[in-house]
Amino acid sequence: MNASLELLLATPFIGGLLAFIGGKIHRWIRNLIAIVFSFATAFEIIGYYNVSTKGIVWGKLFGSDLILQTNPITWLFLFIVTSASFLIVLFSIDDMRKEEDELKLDAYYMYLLFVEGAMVGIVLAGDLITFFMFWEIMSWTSYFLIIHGGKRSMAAGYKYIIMSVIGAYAMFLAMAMLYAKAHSLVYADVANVLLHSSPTFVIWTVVLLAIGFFVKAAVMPLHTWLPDAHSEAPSPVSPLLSGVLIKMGAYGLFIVLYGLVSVKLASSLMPSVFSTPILLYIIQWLAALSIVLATFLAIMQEDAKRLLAYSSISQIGYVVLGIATGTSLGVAGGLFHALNHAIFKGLLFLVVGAVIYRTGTRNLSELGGLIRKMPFSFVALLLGIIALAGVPPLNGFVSKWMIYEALLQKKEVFLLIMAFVGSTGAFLYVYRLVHSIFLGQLPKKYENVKDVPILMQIAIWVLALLTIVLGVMPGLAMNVIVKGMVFFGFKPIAYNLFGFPQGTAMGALVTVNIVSILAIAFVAMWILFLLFPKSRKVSQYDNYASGQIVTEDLKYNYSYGFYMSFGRVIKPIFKWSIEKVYNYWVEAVKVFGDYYMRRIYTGNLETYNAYIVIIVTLAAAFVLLGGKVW
Amino acid sequence: MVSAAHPILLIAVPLFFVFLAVLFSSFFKGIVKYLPIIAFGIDLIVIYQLIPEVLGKGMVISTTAGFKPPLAIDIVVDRLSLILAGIGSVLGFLVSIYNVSYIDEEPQERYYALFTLLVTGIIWMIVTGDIFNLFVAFEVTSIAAFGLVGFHRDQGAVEAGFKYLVMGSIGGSLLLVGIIMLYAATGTLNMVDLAQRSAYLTFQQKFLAYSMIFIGLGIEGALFPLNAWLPDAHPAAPSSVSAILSGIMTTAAIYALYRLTNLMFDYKEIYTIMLFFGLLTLIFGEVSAYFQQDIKRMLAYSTIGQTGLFFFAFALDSTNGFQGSIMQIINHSVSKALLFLVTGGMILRIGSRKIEDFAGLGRKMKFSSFFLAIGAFSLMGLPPFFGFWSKLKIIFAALQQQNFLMIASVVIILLMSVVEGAYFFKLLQNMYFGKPSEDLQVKEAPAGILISFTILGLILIFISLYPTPIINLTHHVANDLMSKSYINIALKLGGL
Repeated sequence: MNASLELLLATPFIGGLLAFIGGKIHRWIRNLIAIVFSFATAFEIIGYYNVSTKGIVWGKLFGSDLILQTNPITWLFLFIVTSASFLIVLFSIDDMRKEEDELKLDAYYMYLLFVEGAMVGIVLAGDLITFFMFWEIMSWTSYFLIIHGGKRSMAAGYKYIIMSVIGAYAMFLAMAMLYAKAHSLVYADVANVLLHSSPTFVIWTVVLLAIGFFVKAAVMPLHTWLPDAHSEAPSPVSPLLSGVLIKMGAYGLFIVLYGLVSVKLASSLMPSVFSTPILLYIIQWLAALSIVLATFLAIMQEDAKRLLAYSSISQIGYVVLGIATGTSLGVAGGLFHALNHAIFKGLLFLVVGAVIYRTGTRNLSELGGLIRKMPFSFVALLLGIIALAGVPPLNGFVSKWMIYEALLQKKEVFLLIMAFVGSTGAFLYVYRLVHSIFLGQLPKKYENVKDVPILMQIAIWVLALLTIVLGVMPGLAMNVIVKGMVFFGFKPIAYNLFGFPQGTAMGALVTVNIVSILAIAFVAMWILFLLFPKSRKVSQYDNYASGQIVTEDLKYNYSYGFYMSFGRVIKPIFKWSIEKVYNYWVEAVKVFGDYYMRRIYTGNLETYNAYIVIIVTLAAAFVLLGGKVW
Repeated sequence: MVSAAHPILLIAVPLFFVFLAVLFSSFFKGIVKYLPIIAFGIDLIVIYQLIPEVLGKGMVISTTAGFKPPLAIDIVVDRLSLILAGIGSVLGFLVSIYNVSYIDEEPQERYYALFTLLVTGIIWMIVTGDIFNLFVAFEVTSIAAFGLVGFHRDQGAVEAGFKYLVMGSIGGSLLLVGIIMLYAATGTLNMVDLAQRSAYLTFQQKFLAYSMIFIGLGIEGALFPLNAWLPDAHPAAPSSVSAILSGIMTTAAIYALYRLTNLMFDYKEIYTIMLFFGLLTLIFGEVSAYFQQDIKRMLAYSTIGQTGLFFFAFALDSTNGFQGSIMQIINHSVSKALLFLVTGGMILRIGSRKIEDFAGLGRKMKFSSFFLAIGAFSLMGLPPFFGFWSKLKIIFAALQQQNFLMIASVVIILLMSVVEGAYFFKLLQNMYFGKPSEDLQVKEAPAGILISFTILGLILIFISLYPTPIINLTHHVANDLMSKSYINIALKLGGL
């Protein structure tokens, strides 16, 4: 039997409240409730696999229905949200144990489940009011999660909430404009009204809604909150933000572009470039710029979590780029990449979280040589970065391949090159993670580091296995995505469990072949390795150094400023930062506001009475002029 | 059971208790502090009994002195005034409980007498059906408020009280001038009668009277630039009084303006003027609030901003606008009163009004902080709180007019909402996650304070989660205002 949609939506919220109350009794009751309820939510979605339900009305507001509905695309995002939340709760149990303030922890689990519930609500929404309501709930609950991380996270959280609020109100304006026209905000009604609206109106609504989504999805130039917020948030929250929360922006974009406006409508309203409506084309460029610039920035980071945060901006760029292509293949690639990114970025953040948990630092130049101390984490990280860099046979490869293919088919060469640059750059920064954390020399203070506790391992390894499963069998995901896209009126693309058959104007992709080739190569290398004579292990101190005695403190670890020379090359690009522009405006408004407010509220009674006199005079003048000023 | 559904009781009973407070102060001093609770408890009963009648008939009228209106003063409760009088009584009742724990400064009996008089005056302003009676109520309210603002008798309070006295008196005189002009032109003071007779006057004849009334009520109702007394007076007053001032007094003045505009000055030009005043008030209130270091000043400026918002919504002159305006009034009254009551308790404990000194209170005063957060969220208009529904309605109403000016106004409103979010989040962040300066040793607020704001907070949560009845009721009210059914029903029920 299927859990009803209301129940599905209510489960995390109820769980959050119960966890908060349970925490007053004992912390294990709280932890158990959090685990059970996040698992229950993930469990309840099983029944909705590839089901499209008619919307159910759960409330009425100002005569407009509030609707919950599902379709396969919904299911894809529900899967991302609920399973990631469940794993993150598991990971939190151990990771957040170091927090001594139990009250803070009660609130932490409550907000964690609330964020999950809000995201479930966003995805299930069948009308814009419901969507917006849960969108806002997501904003402020996630804000409370971010500022858990201490003093620096407060500034980051503040920036996050202000930018979110701005984005949300841009959406709100678009919604209100639509409501004024349509008197209903149900997706179908809105789509119907947009069909008969002027191009200007459609463009304005899409742009305003897109601003809201781009803030959340951190598409440049609205990304400035992300590096701070994602890196300053507590370790388990970062994967939630990077893996899941920013996908809500992508989901929203998908709904607006293909649920409310359709490609056909968009092409009929505006000129096309490369057979893409110009609005979509601009979005593609923004996404491509995000990919390249964020990659460069990620390369230059010294902080593991900041590096991953910039990498998220770059990867979400692929998602948005894919979604904005408007072709079946591209959109499917974008959606698939959203799923893949949730998996591998969640994995990477969790591994880095595990490293932080054991070592207490996220500064790359202070780490090194942990491979022998945390071997499981190392393998998991390796899988994560292979997936991120888009190397077969892991999942990132398939979705990126689809996006490249889609761009090729549209002959958008520049965008394709930028996407390639982003992928190549990804090699650079992910290599940095392996090198600086796990390879090189082990600092003496980390001699006693162990691998992390079992619950954290479980969370990490579930994700690690998923990268392999989806990498070898992309058909599992395509099953959902293609059905969903048909639901939204796209042409289905041909696929099978292990990739894509040779189609029209489209190369074949068979993951089994790739895996076999890799396996053969690996075995061959292994045999060669065994055949050749073994190297002899020599202690590092068994060395001649011109008579000098080599001691521990002379060990050299090359990891600070790893890509400094590359940094010199790209430095001119970053002389200009959009953040400076924002800060400049904030300052200007502050100065202006402060100065003029003081001029008006002087604290002087004479001034105040003068205002009254002025108004009386104006009124009298108005009457004397015969009531005709305009 | 005896029916107490006589609107006149709403005023008569508390007024009696004012005298009682003065009388008792010499004999049973200990009892004086409980008198307002009884007075407004009775008011609540009266309101409760009025609800079915008002909702059924649309209006309940009490006449005085054995004459028929327009000769005698009549007290009229229709749906709109029922909502506002209800808020007034609830706030009066809860703040009376609050007072018991909060006020320990002498002279207490005068405080209680003035406090009862203040709330009575406000309810009086709301339920009166006579324009001169409105002026009397206005003056009663003002005089009580002047005294209460200066209650602490330190330099700041006295200065604020004096500023308020001067500006309030000017406002009162201008209001009186306006009323005299109307009386001279029509020869009647009854609102319904005035509405009918003034229909024969031209716009130019009415406009000067209108502007006098507008300025008079606008000073009390915190409209920019007439509101300069407010940022001084609201913080200087004891927090209990600030809750009443911000929560319902400014609103009552705005209500009177709504009522008169709707009955007599229903012109497009006038609504346009109101629109601009609303927007300016909103902008200046919210932007100034952002720069405040003093929490009560911040809340006072935020009151100005909110007033601007619901004034703007009213000036849209459409059913949706009226509905949004009244919903926002309800939201603002409850949330702002809640915020003042909570911060009053906090200030009592930490002895400072600086926002930076609130750091770390989230863990020491859990209940207070929780309700502060709820109130702030509702004022910001975050879902699922009630403020969200009202803001949504206002924006919808504005955009329904479909012209460029409206879109610009909506952009302004949304920008100001961002500013509002900025200062409230700054406060909340500091409160919950800021590091206390030294080892902060504070307890939760005293029982009376805790009870009163908990009840108010629960009311807010309830209407947030279950807004349908209020949305329906306000929709009725908006239709009443739109069709001017006040006049028709009053004529039918013998209000004239």
